[in-house]
Amino acid sequence: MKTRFALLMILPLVAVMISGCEKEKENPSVTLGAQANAAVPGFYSVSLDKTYTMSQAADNAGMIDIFCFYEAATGNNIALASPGSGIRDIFTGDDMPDNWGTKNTTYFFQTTLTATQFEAVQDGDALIETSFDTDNARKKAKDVQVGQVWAFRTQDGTYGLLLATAVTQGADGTVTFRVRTK
Amino acid sequence: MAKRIQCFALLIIIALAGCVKDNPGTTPLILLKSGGAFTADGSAVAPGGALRFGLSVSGGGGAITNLVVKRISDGVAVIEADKGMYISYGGLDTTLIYTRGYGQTERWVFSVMNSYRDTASVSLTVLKGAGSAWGEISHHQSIRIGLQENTSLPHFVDLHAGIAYDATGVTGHESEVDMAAFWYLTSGTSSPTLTCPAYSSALTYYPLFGSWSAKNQTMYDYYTSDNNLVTPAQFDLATNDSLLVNAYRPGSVSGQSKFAYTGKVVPFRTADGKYGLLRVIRADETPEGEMEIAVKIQK
Repeated sequence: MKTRFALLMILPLVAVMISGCEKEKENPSVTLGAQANAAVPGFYSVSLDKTYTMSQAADNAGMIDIFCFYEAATGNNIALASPGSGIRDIFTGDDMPDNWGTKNTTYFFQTTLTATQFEAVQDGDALIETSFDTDNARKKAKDVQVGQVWAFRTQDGTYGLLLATAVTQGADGTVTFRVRTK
Repeated sequence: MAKRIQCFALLIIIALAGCVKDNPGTTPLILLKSGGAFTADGSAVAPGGALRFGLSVSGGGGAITNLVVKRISDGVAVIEADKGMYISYGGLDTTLIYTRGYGQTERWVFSVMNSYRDTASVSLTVLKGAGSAWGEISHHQSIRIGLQENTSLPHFVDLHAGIAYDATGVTGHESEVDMAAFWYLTSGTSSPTLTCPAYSSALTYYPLFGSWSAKNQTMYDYYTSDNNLVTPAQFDLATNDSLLVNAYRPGSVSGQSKFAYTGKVVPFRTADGKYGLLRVIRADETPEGEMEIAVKIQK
């Protein structure tokens, strides 16, 4: 009898604990691989918050806003750019961005925001837009370093901030960042 | 049985404790905008010159609930603005315009608070430039308006242009209206009173404000008015905005100013940051009466 009572009490409570507690909002990172990284997709859609391999990206060219590439000789190192940036001789094959019919262009501007300040920004904040300096924006985020906060504007006018949280140099390297958009 | 109840209560407490949400632990972010459109840290501005501060604020995980602007002129602090708000999405992006005072150095401190009562601030210093830069003013010599039950005169005043609109004509001009006036008895004392569309109790006398999407908040300096710190003669002599700016005491302002009797001079600041002086030429003390004012306001 006592065991039954205990079960009757505990089971509903466990159910309440599992279902009732509000889930913490996830704040995932995006990782993109450079051109020779076969394991990590290198293309990214800001609006869908989704990564693509180059082959997948070629089939969804209109959705692609950012890719990662590596180029040591020019000092770009691990860098971010977009299909419309005109960057050549990095990717090869039929699916390379040069061959795409739609090439979105994203512009980047390196802000002076710190990682801590980035954490205070929420999606939709006006600060995301005002951090973007149109006059000084470039078609690539060159030599991305951990802790840097870059403002960007996509082809469709979405503004964003990205905080680089990890960088591995090399043609098979990666960059990991977190994004806020407006 | 008592033990079972205790056991049950204990389990509930444990279950609820597991659901307590942690404070996100982020603080708001407030940044001063840079660029030619804004006053830079360390810049020199002559007394009377315009100061433009661009602020970008993020709530840091909470809603933005308060913005305080403090001017510290040669060590003397004055709260220029203390605005309550509740901005839960989109942050705050605003430009504040003030006028450089006479102090050798002015330090401006902008502070925000979020709904977790976390705060952040940013500051800059503006040095004193040579000469003076007091600006031009507009002078509207006579604006006649009706008090709340007056049916023959217009009620809604654009202090910038010196125009008064009636209830019909104001359509499309709501965002230009800075002032209205009414009369009432306050604690038994007769009070011709200045108000503005954003002041909540103005709705009692002008329900039309409730339907306006743009409701300007004009702040009146009641202390200067109550204590007659600016005389009608001084008002008449003002030829630039020096008196308009310096008479205004931001520590004693409200969206409503009582006791606006004939002869009173009331400093004010409009929603878009223009300083001005309002002289009451005539104020009736009945709800059906009228008020005639003269206005000097920064161009």
